[in-house]
Amino acid sequence: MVIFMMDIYYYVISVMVSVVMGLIIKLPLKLDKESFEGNLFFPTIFIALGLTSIVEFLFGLNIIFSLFIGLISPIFSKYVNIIFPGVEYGSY
Amino acid sequence: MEVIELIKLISASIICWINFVIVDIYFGLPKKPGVSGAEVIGSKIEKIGGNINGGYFMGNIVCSPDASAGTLMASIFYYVMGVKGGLIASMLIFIGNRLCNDPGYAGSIGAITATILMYAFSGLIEPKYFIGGMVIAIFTIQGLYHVWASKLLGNLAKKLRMI
Amino acid sequence: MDIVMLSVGILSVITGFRIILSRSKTQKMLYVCCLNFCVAALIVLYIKSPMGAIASIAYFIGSTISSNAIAHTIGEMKKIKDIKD
Repeated sequence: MVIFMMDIYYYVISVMVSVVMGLIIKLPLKLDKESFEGNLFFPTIFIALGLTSIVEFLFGLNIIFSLFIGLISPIFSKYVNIIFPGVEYGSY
Repeated sequence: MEVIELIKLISASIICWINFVIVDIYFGLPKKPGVSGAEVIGSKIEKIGGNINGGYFMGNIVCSPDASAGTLMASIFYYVMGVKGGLIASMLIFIGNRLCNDPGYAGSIGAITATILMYAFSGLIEPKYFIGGMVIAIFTIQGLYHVWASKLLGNLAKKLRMI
Repeated sequence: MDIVMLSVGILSVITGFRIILSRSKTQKMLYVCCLNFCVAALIVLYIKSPMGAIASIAYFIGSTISSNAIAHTIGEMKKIKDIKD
């Protein structure tokens, strides 16, 4: 039970660090359902949770991995329109 | 004994149907076709006598992995890995949505809500039944009879005031 | 054989016959989407391991991209000449 609670703490730490880093690098706060740009909450939290669970499945968790995932997930969210762009001619 | 399994399968199917239809309607699938292939399918459904908004809904499901695919993938990953599989499925569905020219809100949030529902029902219904239930739920929309399904989806979207 | 695999198999056979019997190209796309769901569920019911789940999601996203491309092509061809969809 104690080990299970420690894993929950690592997930919470990575999400909190990613939101704080997103505030520092000025991600937009407004949530728009139509646009392809990332904002503070939408891809950031899902990318952080998914990467943390992949790392737990492959290697096991510790504090270094949590801080590193919290560092790279808002950077991915800031440049998500360049990595996976939405094209003009495909949309209706 | 088989009667209990059949009851579990049908109740899991109803839960999955409600989950993905509510999430998809809330994120605006019946309002407009997201990609240009969905507009072709919507106009064809209208030509054979169905509803245009239900046709856009069905075309958007065909052309990009939305909350229906999110529910199926979350149940598959929950079946092999537990709760943390649902989080992995959410991230992979987001990448798949972006490859299909879709902003990706419906797929990842549908996967998260399906994971929460499966964790809430984990004492009663095993995750194996949710996989079969999701296939039955998608069969009632895409495979049974397109005119009635599009009319039902259009009326439901109009009743939730999302058109 | 348990009831989940049996019901998914029966639904996939029914959908396969409806693909053959349907005349419209656009309605065939809807049945093919239902068949993709059935095959992705059958892969992970046979291979109960994390690699089976990865194979299932890779198959599903690839088939969805090809459905997107075929539907887009039908729409573009209807603008050029009058085809029967």
